[in-house]
Amino acid sequence: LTGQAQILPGNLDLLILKAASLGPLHGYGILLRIEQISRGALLIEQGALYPALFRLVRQGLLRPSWGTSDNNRRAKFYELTSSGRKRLRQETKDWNRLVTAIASALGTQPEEV
Amino acid sequence: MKVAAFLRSLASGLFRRSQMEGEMDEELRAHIANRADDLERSGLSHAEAERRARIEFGGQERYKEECREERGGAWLESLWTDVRFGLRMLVKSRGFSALAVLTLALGIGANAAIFSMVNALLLHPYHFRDLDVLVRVWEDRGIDEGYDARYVAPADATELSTHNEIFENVTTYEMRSNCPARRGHTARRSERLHRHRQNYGHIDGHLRAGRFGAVIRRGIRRAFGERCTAHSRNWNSPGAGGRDGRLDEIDSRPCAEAYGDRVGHCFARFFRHQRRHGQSDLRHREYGCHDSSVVRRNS
Repeated sequence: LTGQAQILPGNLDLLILKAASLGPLHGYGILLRIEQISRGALLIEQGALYPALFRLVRQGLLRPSWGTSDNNRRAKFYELTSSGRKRLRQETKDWNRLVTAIASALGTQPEEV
Repeated sequence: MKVAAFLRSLASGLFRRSQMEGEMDEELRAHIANRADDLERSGLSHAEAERRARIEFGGQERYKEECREERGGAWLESLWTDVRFGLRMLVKSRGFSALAVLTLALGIGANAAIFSMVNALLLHPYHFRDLDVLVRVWEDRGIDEGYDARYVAPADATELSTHNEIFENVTTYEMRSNCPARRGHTARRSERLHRHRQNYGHIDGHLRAGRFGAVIRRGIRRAFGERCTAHSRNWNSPGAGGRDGRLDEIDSRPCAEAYGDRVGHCFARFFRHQRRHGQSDLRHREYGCHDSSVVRRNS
């Protein structure tokens, strides 16, 4: 789709952690929340979300629990753990550093060299 | 925390497998249903919305497999499945199983034997210097009374050690059996060994320090002067033990006269060989010398 960017490998975990940090969500809810906070700019392969969720649960960064969704359907909700919060802070810091460095490199003008 | 989460996930995957599978199916179905609801609200028919939702989700089986791998313990699960399958196949074709086990046993045995040899000869040889002159001496009573009869009695060992002038030092050692049926026998041997150690503690020290070979070599050279030297050869191998006639060339009389009967004791096979050729008529008790050195003329 035009205007949507493919997520770089490894960044999906960061986005899931961010979405879950805003409140417990089920898998589809996380997908919608990422679309919402990225203003629809990121294209996420829907099925690829679940292996990432299982991985984050195994790493102890998310805590799953079964509940009922808004449309009265049984769903598994994911909540950020304290380790997940710590990891999110660290990953965000690293990401900002990377973005600043790349932006600085890309914004360099010939006369600045 | 992370370790606990990992173990919890692993245990769930292993012991609550069917439940986990059911939950995973339900979770993915709920996702597709939620998406279909949204698409239906946007104006699509129910059937079309479901179809579109499935297409957007992608291959369910592929993602399920990825989820199983991410959950942890997939390798263990796969291993257990393979083991069960293997056992079923083994029971089903017993002839093949027996052949496979036999082949493996032979292969492992042959490899172990070759490795033991390489290890003993190349990787971890004995730490004694001058191994070529280290010899083993035992009492030879002229008849085969079994392996135990080759042991040298403590008194004889003392005598051999104090009176011989061929070997600068003589020590004793003991081989033990762990077989329960021979335990009583081993206890007697251990007692004897203890007495030996009391008597030859200093020589054991030489052995442990790796100087034993060196003192033997010096002893041999001193005994035979410039005429003889020691060679690392198996006593029974052709060309080393007199089968090529080399031993016949050695004149034992000066040695025997100069150093007494003990020379003959230490190189008993040498004299026995000569006796067969009618060159010697020694009647004293004999000792065998094994595994390494022969003494021959340095021509």
